[in-house]
Amino acid sequence: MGLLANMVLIVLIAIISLYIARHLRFFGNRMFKEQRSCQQDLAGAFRPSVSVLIPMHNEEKVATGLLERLVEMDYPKDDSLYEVIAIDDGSTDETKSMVDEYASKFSFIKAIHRVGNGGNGKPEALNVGLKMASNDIILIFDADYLPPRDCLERLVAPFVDVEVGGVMGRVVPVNSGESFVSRMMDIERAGGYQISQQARYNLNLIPQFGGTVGGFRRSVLKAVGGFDASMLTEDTDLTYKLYLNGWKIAYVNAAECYEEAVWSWETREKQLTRWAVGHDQCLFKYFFSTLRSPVLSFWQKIDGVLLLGIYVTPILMLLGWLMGIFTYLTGAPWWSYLFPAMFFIFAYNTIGNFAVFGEVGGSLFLDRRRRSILLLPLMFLDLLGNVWVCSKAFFKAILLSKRRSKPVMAPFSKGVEKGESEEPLYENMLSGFVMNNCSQWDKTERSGNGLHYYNHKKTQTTNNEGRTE
Amino acid sequence: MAISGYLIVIALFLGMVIFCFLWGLLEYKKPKDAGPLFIDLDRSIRKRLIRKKRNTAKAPNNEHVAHSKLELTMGESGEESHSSDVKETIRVRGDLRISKGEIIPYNMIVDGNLTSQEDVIFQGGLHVKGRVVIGARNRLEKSIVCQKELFLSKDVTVNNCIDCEGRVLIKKGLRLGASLEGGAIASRSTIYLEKPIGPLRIKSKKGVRVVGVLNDVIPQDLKTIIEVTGA
Amino acid sequence: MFARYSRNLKFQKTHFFTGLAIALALTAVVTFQGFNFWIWQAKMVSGLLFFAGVPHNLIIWTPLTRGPTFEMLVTPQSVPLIAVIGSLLFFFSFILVLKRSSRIPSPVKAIALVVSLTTIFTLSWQTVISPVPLYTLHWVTIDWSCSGVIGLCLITLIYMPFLFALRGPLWVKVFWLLVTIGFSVIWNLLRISLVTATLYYFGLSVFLLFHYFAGAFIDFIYIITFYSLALYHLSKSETREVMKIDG
Repeated sequence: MGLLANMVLIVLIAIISLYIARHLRFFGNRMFKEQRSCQQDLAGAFRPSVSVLIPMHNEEKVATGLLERLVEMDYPKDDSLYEVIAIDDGSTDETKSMVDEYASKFSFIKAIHRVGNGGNGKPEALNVGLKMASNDIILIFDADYLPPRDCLERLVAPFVDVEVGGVMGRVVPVNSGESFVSRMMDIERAGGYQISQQARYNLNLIPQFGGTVGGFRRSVLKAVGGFDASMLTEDTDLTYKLYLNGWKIAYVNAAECYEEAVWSWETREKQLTRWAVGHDQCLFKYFFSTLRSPVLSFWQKIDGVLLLGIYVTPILMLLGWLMGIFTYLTGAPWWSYLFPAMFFIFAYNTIGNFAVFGEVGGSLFLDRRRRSILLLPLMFLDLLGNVWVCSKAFFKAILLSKRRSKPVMAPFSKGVEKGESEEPLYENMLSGFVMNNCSQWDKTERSGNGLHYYNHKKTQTTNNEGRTE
Repeated sequence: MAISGYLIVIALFLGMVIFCFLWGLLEYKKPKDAGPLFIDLDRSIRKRLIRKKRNTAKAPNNEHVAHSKLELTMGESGEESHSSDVKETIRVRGDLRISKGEIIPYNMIVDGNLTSQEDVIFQGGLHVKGRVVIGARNRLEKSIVCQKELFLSKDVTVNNCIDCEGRVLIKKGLRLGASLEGGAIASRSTIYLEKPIGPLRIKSKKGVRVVGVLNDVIPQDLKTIIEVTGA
Repeated sequence: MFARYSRNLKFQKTHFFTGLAIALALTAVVTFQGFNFWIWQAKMVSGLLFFAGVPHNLIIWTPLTRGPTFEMLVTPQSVPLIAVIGSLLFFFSFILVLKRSSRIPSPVKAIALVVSLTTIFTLSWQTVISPVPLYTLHWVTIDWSCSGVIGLCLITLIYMPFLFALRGPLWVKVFWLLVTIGFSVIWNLLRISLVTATLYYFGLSVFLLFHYFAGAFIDFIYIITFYSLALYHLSKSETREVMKIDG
């Protein structure tokens, strides 16, 4: 038992140490090395034909905001070069009429209305939009996003490169001052995009498509089968499909876009649970194929696997704490008395999580958001929240994958004979994430205040010195 | 009482713990940086110097055709330029030499150096990880992205863009950006031109130099390749 | 004008190596004067313990600890069985409440879960399996004294790439490094005093729990705080520098 505990502890420390090294590497690369420009010098000069897909479900509060921005977009409003396809997926509010209004005013805006109870989810809506799209590049925006006028030009520039199959821009919360959670989301996003994504792109690793403010070549999307409606995170799924087929994703740090971040712990939990479950589904699906891939380089494989496991690290931390209690009560392993091991364990305990905070701090330093740097210690609470949510999500993901792969069994209920299904138990535990293999809309409540925050900020004097080129 | 001393020590320790969170709480409660990261929603990339008159005919949707039909569009030079919806992308491991007069119907990713002789037509785009030598009168229907040096011989046509990490050496006669998708040249190093190529968009990190004779700036190893291949 | 999306900083080699020199100097001091520091620390802790009313002896050296430690003059009381059972029932029901309530924010749930599970395991283990804990006061004083000293070296090592390498005045970086080290020393003094006093006032079980929760893991809270303060002041100075360059 003691030997097993020792082995588990060593493996845990090794895995977490890999992540620490990864964060350090990204920090060093992003802060001090020259950045890859992803063909931004050609932005505005290279203009392929673009179809912008906007999946919508009850978006009356935010729909006009994005549609207005897309009308004002700096892209030739030529039907052969630019089209906007708004897919209204079974909305029960005023979304339908709003979309129709824009479609009637502007020839490059097209409306698709899907009827059905509750809609069929974002991936299916996107697949429908994909069938109707006729241009070479498909870009996707969620309904509550506010892109600047040059966003499209910046996003499409990397497609100059035939190796690039997809792009991803930078997401910036517009409502960061709304609550504690939204401020945490703001600084987390800063670290994730400004440092992590950019460094992964610089190092030719695996930057990820995040589901919005990004896009793909239409031919590539069709070749990989479009958006997989059975996956909760079809964006991560697509990222791996592309990379395993030899394509690359370009991360465009210059293509910034506002979003409305979640503002309550409850909504944050739901959102994070969906991301974690979806990501863990991808982990189960792509772990071995990533390692065995003939097209990925060694470091891409390592990064690919670490990226797949990103939502498993909180549960590893929790396991580490629990193992810590066990070894604490039964006695520390003999090897921990050796000085190097002692040093390493203290280092791991003390600075184990520091690398993540250092990454976020570095991103805020680059963005010149001085005061937000002071929020770093409060991120500790967010980290703890992630531990709770991701641990639960991991078990949900296991149940989900078991449910789809073979006849449903009830492992925890007694008195059920082998082979008999126990659907209600699974339904309850999965909380309706996947029903009959169809995705459902997992809605984040929108306030529709995106532009309000932006306009309000413009009238205030601010210490923020963000300037653009 | 003795226990009061203990309570004071606890209070001191807890005070230190609270101190750790104090600054963050102050910024949260009385924020001076509550607003979002500033993005100018009206920002736009500097307008191009020339606006091209374009044929607005829509390209055909050729999704199930491996080799698409050609759609004629009028380029700026008045000559016909062909845009094609090429679907297949191939990857070549190692160096690639293309003989005179070949037509390449694919997008190509070359994990090595690329050299082409005269009169080659590339119907798809190119991404080359090594050095590129493009021969005279070659036509590139799409773009070329190069991670090392790029040499374009005389009278080369590139319908889209050129993007290069290293030096770009261009002989006279280059025609650029004839397709609907636009054209420009970008390099993270220096661009050497034998002759100015008009008010097109050129961006170079280390500058654009118009040299009378390009041979004076071509490095010796590249000269050898050019001579051998007749590019 | 800067474009934040492509902005990167020049690696400050001089400052980085200054930080390295400080780290090496500190390591040398710790190596050669570590024992004297340990004794000084133990004397300070002893003073605090007297202030807190804990009867004890300061022993400068034992064959087991090979350094200073403390000996309690009064045997600490064990927690009564009824209190143990009551605590176990409380924490078990607390976990059930946590699971069912969606109103409690997830960070609170996470902290509560870890505290509850640790308390349940510790109390159960101590009551049923091993009433004599493996970790005595001697062990704890060595553990935390060593971790405190190693922590000083680690702080300097962390600050080297994450702070010293960034653009900004050297004095800001050195100032905050010294402040962090000073805070760390005081933190360790208070922590060791508290755990010893807790053993005297509340007995073995609470002592074990305090030792677990207040261990090296929570050190990174103050390291993050001072790092964020340092970065904040550094970015202020850095902005002034850039404004001067831009005119």
